[in-house]
Amino acid sequence: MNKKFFQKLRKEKIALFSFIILSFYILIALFANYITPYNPYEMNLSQRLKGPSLSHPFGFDELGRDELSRIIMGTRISISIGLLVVVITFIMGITVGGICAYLGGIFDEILMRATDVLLAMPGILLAIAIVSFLGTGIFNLIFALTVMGWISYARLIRGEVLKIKNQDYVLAAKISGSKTFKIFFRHILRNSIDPAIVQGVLNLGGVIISEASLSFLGLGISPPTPSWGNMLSMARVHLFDAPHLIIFPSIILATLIFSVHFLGEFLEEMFIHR
Amino acid sequence: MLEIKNLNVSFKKGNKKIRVINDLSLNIPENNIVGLVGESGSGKSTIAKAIIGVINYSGKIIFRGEKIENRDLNFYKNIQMIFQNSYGSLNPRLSIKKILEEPILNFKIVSRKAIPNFIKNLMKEVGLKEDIVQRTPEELSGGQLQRIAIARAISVNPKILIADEPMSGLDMSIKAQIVNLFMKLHGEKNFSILLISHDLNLIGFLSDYIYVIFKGEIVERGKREEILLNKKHPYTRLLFESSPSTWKGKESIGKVDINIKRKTTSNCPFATICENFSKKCERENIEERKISSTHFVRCIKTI
Repeated sequence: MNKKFFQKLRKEKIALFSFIILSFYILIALFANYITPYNPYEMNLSQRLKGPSLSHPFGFDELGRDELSRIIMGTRISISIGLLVVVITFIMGITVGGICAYLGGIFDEILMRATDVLLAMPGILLAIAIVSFLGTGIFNLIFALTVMGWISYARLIRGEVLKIKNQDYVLAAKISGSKTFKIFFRHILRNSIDPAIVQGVLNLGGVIISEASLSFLGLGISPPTPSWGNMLSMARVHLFDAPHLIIFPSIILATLIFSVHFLGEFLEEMFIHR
Repeated sequence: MLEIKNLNVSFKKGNKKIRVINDLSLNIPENNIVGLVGESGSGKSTIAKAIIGVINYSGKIIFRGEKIENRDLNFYKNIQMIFQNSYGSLNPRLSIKKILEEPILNFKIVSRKAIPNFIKNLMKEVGLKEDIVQRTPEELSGGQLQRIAIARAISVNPKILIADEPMSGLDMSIKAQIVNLFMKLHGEKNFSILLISHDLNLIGFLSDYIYVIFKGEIVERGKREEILLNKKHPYTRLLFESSPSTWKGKESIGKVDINIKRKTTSNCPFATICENFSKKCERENIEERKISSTHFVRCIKTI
C-alpha cells in the first residue's frame, strides 16, 4: 500500500506538491521552538507594526514581536489542535458508529437518533457555546470541536459497515471459526475504513479553520500564545496600517487548507474510486 | 450424519410473513454427495444458511444424533461451506496466505510453524501453484478463486462440505476441472457434500442422492438413477427439459406458461403452474408417495 501510494503520488503533481507542503508544515510544527529566528513572545515596542525587512521577513506585530516567529509557533498550535481533534473524533466515530452498525437493531437506532439530535445544532455555534461555558483554553477548545466532529465519521462508517457486514467473506470468517472481535476488526473495519480516512484528511482543514475562527472570536487560544486565528484576530484592527499582519498568516493558513484538501481528494481518488 | 427435520424459515416483509422453507426434511448420510436442485428463489441457499446458523429458523438440525443449538468451533470444524460467489467470499484486503491461515489457526489444525508447509500441500491438493499465496483475491481468476475457497474449506478436514452453487460463473472447461477436483477430494478425504445447484446435469453427474426442491418444499427425492431415469414429478421433468443441450432441437426445451398462475387451495407447491393440474389435486391432500424404498414423489399423478 505504501509503495503504491508513493508511486501514484509521483504522477499526481498537485497531490505531490500538497504532500510536500503538508509534510513541511508538520516538520515546522514539530521543531517550532528550535527554528524560530527570534523569541515569539519578546516585545519590542519601538518596532511595532513595522513592515517586512531582510532580518524580519514577515515584519512585526502590534506589540513589536517578530511575526515570522509567531507564525512558526502558531503552526505548532494550529496543526496539533487539528491533528488531535481529527484523531480523537476519528477513533470515536469509527468505534461508536462501527460497533453500533455491526450490532444493528436497537443500537443502530439509538446511534442514528443521537446523531440526528446533535446534527440539528450548527457545529460552530455549539462549539462557541461550549467554550463560553467552560472557558477558553486548549483542552476546552479540543473538547468543543470533538463533540460534533465524531458524528460525520460515525455516520460514514455506519453505512460502510452495513454494506460490508453482509458480505460472504464475513460469513466465511464466521465459519472459519473467527470470533466476533476478530471478524469486526479484520474483516469488517478493514474493508470499510477507507472513506473515513479520506474524510479525516479532508476534515483536518476544516478543524484548523474552526480553531482559527474560534480564536479569531477570542474564544480559542488566548494570547500571548500565538495561533493563526488569534494572530488574524489581532491583526484585523491594523488591516490598513499594517496589512502584512493579515497577509502572511492568511497565506500560510490558505496554503495548508488547500494542500490538505488536494491531498484528501487524491486519497479519495485512490481509495474509493479505484 | 446430518439430518434436517421439519425446517421452516420465513422472512418478514412489512407485516406479512413470507414462508421460504416449508416443513422441509433432508438427510445427509456419511460419505455421500447429496444434491439439492431447484430454480432460483426456491430456497436452496436458505437451507445452507440455516445449517450454518446465520438465519433464524424453526425445526431441528441434527448432527450425529445431537440437536444443534449453538454453533461452536467444533460445529464449524465439522461443517464447512463454499459460497456461490467465490470472489465475494474472500476478503479483498488479505493475501491468500492470510485467508488460508485463518481457519487453520482458529481450529488449531497444525502449529504456527507448520503452517507454510501445510498450505503448500493444500495448494497442491487443489491444483494451484504455491506462489499464488502471496497474491490478493483481486489478482486471481474465477477458477483459481474457487479453488482457494475449496482449499480453505477442506483445510480443517470437515465432515460435511456445503457447496452453494460452486460452479456458477465459471466457464465450461473450468467447471469440468472443479467438478473433477470435487470428485477427487471427495474420494480422498471421505467427507459428505451437500451440493446446491440449479443445474440438474451437474447435480445428476455428481450426486448419490438427489432432492428436488420447489418453493421451499421437496417435490421429489431419490437416488441418482431413480431421478435421472425415472423422474416422476412434472417439475423434475421440466427442470431436465429446460437445460439446453446441443443434441436436442430448440423445440424440445421445456416451456412453462408463466401467465398461468392458478389460484388454488391445493397444498401442492407446484399446483399453480402444473400442466397436469386437475380438480383431484385440489380435493386431495397431496403428500409424499413412495415409488421405491428410496424414491419418493409429491404428486398424485405419478406417470
